[in-house]
Amino acid sequence: MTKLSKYLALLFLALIVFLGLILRLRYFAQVPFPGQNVDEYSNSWVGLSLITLGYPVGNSGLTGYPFTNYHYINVDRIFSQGENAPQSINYPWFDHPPLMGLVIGGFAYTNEARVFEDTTLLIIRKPMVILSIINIFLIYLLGAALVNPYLGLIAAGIYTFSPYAIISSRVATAENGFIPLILLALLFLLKFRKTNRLIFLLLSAIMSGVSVLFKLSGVIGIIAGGLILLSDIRKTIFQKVQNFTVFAYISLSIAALFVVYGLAIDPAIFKIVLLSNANRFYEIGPHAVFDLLTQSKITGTIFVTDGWKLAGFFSLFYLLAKRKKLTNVYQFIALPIIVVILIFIIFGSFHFGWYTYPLIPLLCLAVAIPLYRSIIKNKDFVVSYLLLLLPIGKNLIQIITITDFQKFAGAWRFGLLVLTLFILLPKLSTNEQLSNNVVFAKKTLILIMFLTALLLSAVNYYLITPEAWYSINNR
Amino acid sequence: MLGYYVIGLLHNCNFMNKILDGHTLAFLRVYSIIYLVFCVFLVLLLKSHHRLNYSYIKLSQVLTGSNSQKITDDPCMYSINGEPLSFVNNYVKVFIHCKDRTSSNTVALPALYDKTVSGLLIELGRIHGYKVEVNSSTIISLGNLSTTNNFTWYCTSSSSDYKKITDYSREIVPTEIIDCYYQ
Repeated sequence: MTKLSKYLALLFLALIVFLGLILRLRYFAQVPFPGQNVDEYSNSWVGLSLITLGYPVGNSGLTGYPFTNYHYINVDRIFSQGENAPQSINYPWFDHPPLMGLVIGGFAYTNEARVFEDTTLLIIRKPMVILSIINIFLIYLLGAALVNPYLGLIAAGIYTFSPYAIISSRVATAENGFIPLILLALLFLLKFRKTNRLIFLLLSAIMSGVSVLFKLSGVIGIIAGGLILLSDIRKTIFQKVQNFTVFAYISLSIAALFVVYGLAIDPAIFKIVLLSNANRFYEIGPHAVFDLLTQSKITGTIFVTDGWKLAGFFSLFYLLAKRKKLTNVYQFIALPIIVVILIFIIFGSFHFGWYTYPLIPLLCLAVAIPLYRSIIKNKDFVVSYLLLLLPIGKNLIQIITITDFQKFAGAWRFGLLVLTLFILLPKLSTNEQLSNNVVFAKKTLILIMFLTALLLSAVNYYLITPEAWYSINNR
Repeated sequence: MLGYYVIGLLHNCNFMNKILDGHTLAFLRVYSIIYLVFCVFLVLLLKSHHRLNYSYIKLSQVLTGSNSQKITDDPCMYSINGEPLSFVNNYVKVFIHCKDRTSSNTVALPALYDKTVSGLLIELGRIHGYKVEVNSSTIISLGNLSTTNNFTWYCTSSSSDYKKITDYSREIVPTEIIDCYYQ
């Protein structure tokens, strides 16, 4: 890649990050509504209580605790907005590891929060906005390191403009805490594969271990990292096993710090709660994967569907089909997605949207692969065309009602007919100039469709105001 | 004990010698020692931090302390909406009727520390952010609405056929409906 291309890519990245920040700051403390995810407050309470009392206190629902205290903690006046039951306060709180609490509770503490009612969404969602911006960088870096900076740009662009990605990334859940660590772990692992320098393996192991200290489902990083190390075809079995052992030893030992923490505070309750966690009601059921593919849940009841997630899953199948040709891409994108799905099935309990948040950046990278191959490498036009119809169509119908769309229905049908036939057009001439022109036209079409999809995503997101959020599932 | 075992394993185990080269094994030994020292440090830090900072009074303050920006003068501005479904037959409904609006509240009884009528009104004030002054026989003020010569607070209860409450220090009857008027 030329120097000019690199600078151009960085310029586009700066633009994407700037636009991403504007989009993410819009109504970040109001949408989703305060109280639609009480875990946000609970996470901050755990951190705040650890800092001020040396004891984790939080909201739980698990039956393992010996007693439960009920309190009306009217942060953000949630009881006037629909939340009606008092919080079930347990201490010491061991539902999840404490690191997410320390991040947002610590941030709240630096903003003079001293009691639980001080941990408003205006404060505790700010670190999430910052982490979301960091994710844009990390997605770009991972895409750039895997293939090319343009792949990174495409993936970062999708993550920046997807309404589902924007709104989900601001929710103060542990999943949003460990997503950057998973991406960093993959990045360091990729660097290790390219340079064989032990420091990158260690950094990857540390990131993977630390993600478990946000939530146990952060074990995604350890499993995915282990599988990637064992899948490296350029290493001997001895090297693979050695790398895997070092990685597993370091990451698991860091993850085990949660046990050290729990045993230090209260061993008896820690053991009971850990076992109780394993017996949660398995609401996601055997249809979990089906719901995962077809639903884009933000909370327990609210959906924001923009087509990118489904496009990501279709891209996953595309990557699986091309795994021999796109080995690195398969190992660093497709494998982690499958591991996230596996962890979701095993660890999942209730139908909460935030359990699937770790998929989002990986699915953005997955969609970017066929789009990159079309726009830059002149390949797989049909795949990219069909994938882009998903976010274009879904975002369009969120912007314009089906009744208003009728006046465009004729043009839509005719246009799609022409474009589809054009995309399907095989090589009919031996004239190289003509063939090149057709390929150029197809690639331009895909690029225009991609930019249209991003624009429609941004417009769709802009229509999601606090007033519109009430009827979000009916749109 | 566990740490000693792990270090011993790394030092002596033939299996480890077969899968790890000398440099890697040496690194993991050093790492294990640093890790165990860190664990001891973490345990001591957690225990001392807890011992120095925890008290029941502090815990209560953290749980029940109000956000300073939440203060209001109007006792009828906010409500506790909806029904606490998991507290079947273990709640009380309180309606605060001001001149032009009403605050409707359903309060779960397990969340009340002081399960008297006066305790309920004080807790409601804490939840919504207004001051409450009440004694055993009368409500002095809710927010900026005080008992004066022209206006007075009084409450009725469904548990006594909607007659006026005369003893605010009595215990709350589960599922009772209390209406408080400023007239």
